[in-house]
Amino acid sequence: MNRPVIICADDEPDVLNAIVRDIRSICGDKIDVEGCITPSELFDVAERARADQRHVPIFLVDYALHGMNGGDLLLQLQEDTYYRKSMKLILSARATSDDLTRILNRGALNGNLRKPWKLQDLTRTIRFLLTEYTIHNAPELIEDLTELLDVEMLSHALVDSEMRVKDLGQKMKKLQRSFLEDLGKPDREVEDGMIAHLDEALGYPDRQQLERGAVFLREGDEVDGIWIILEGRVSLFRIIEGREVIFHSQTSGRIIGLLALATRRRSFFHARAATPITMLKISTRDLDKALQRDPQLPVSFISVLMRSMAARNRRAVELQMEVLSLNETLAREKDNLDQALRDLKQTQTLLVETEKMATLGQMSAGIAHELNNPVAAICRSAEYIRQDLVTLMSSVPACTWIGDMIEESIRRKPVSTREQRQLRSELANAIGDEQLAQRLVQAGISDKATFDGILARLPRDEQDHGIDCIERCSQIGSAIRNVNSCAERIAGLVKSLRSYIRSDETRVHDIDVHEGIEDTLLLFSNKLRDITVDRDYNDVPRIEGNPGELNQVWTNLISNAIQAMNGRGTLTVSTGALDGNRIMVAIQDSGPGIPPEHIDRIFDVKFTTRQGRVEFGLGLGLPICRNIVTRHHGTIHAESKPGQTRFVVTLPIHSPEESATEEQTGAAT
Amino acid sequence: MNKVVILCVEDESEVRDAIQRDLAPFAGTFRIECSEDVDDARSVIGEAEDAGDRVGLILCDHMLPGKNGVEFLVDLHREPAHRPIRKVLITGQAGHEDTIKAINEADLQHYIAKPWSPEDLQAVVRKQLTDYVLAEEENLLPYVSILDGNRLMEAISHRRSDT
Repeated sequence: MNRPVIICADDEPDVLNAIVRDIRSICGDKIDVEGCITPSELFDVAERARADQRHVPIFLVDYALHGMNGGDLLLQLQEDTYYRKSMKLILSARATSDDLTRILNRGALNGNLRKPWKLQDLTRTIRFLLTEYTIHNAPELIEDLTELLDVEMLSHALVDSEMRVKDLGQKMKKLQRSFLEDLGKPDREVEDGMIAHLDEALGYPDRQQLERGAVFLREGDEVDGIWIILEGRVSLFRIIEGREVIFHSQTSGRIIGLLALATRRRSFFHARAATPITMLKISTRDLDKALQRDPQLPVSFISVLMRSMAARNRRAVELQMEVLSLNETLAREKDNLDQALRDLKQTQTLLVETEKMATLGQMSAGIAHELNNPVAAICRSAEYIRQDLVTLMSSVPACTWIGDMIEESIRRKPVSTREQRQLRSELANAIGDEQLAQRLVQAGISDKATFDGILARLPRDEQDHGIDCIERCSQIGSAIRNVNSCAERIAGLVKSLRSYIRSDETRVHDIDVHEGIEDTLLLFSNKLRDITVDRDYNDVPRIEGNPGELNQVWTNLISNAIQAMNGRGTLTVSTGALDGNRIMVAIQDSGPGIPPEHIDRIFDVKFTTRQGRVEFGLGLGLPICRNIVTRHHGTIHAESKPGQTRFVVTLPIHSPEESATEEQTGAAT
Repeated sequence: MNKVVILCVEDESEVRDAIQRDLAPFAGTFRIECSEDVDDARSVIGEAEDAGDRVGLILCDHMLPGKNGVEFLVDLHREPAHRPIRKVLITGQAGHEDTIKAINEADLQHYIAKPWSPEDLQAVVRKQLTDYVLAEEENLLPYVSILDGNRLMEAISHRRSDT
């Protein structure tokens, strides 16, 4: 804050310097002192002080200023509200008392200092004026200027002001004949006051005593008065879903029936004596009477009413807060539970699916094994039938050709239906009988020369019968051929199924990923009919792992690819060795691609773009793939753009733990 | 005389042989044609029509290379000329949805699951062909011995009394 400034004016420089020096010596560094030669200079300095918001506690002006009478100068300052508060001091050698009186009477003079002055007088005057100024206009400066001020004056002023405050308080109190007066009093005192007034007004009505536990008011009762509890405590409760819920026990207050009274309704609570109680029942009519009789009663009654209501309201707010925080806790717990449930469900789905695949694997392995015997028997039986038939026919000279014919049709390659029709129409043209041509072509005789050759071998009257025979031979032959080829197909399926499943669940060290992929492709062959499979196989070392699980990965990826291409397109399978200890398998399809917004979620459980249609255990396929690959310490990721989606799996050649053990062993030896 | 054709669409030759053999009882009265895919089946239908014959019954596998059986049957059903053809799906692999589609959109008359028994196959073929000739043929007599004789005789006497 800017220091206060004392402004002095004297047209004699020597005098001015002397007075300024003296005042400075009195005020030290607490107050600035400015000296001016002319009135206009004084106004300038004063103006600056105003601009800087500085206090000007004192103007000291020579009476006989050059150009302007000091008295007039002070009067002019007095006109200005900012300077009006300042103490004004005249320095004079010869001013008449008339002059001074004129200024004094207009309130523009606070002191007169005679020239030549004594420092002692000057000090006293300055001190007085400063004190006077600060007490009335700048109390905030008192602390800072204490040493310059008159302590006695200050303490008088203090006493004075205290007196004034006290006086004011008393006046206020007198004014406050209202219930506000009671605000500072303890509850008990106010309540007792009210009861005394009531007693007086109603002629000391009888007190009622109640045992602890007695219920004297029920929720829903019509209320025609109030109960004032003189001794003991009441609890207020409601019955909610068959249970008592206590709303107030410490906060019931001493007036019961408040809510009903306030709203003129039925009772809001049950009221029960929580301790033995003494109480006063006052009917609404009596209450009314009392309130009218005693002018002091309404004040204390309202006061008690307010206090009770306030207490109950506080309790209600507390209850509300409790409910809120309880709700928050509940909501948090519910969220946690929901999350836990979701996690559990995910895990469960994954487990069920893994378990299902494992069971399916074991079952398939069992079935595959069981199929081997019948397949072997079928193959052998077909072969026996062939051998026995040929041997049998050879033993009858006339029938040797039948055996030959059967053998021939077993060896015959099946022709396409188109070719068959072509041959048939040619033969029909040649022999002129379409139906016969069909039978012959079916029997493997597709040109007229062969047919004529056969006819020539048959006796003329047995030609029809002979053609029947030829047809039958051919049918026997193709039946045996079909049995063989079908049995072979079954055997092939069984073989791939078994190597695919590899029922032993333990890790093996020499997995050829190409074998696993090929087995999988074979099992999918019927779905791959319209799909071009490009194999970009490179030299890949054998790796360590669980072959059954890895096959599950290929199955899921290939099945997804087929599905994505809707059964038509190009499937590219590439393999390769990476940096000497990892291998890579990539399965790529030419389907529409996975939208970028989905690609991050495809490995999540329950994410499927096929709208819940689960085929071949899919929908969980990718999460399971990722599980398996992670267990093998490998990685799996997808990259996709329209027309090209690629899943890349990398796998270590040795599992990390295993190689760590090896290293340790190596270091030890 | 022009004949009614039974067309069997099946891509595996072994299965084709077996169906054809099971259809042998119908061979004299009807012309039995086989094809291994949908394109081939189209040529058979074309050739038969060129020769003045008409296809009365199709026994169709579902899993075929190229267009599948249900799609083929649905297409045929949309062509007015081929609408009267009786359609039977004979398959081990059609899923629920494909079958429903065939029934709803191709007016599929029957579904035979593989493996089939020859008696069942023959009964289905007999019933379907009877339906076909009753609806499409003027002269029913040639079929009496091989198809459902009772129904045919009844129809014949009915038709006579009508005229």
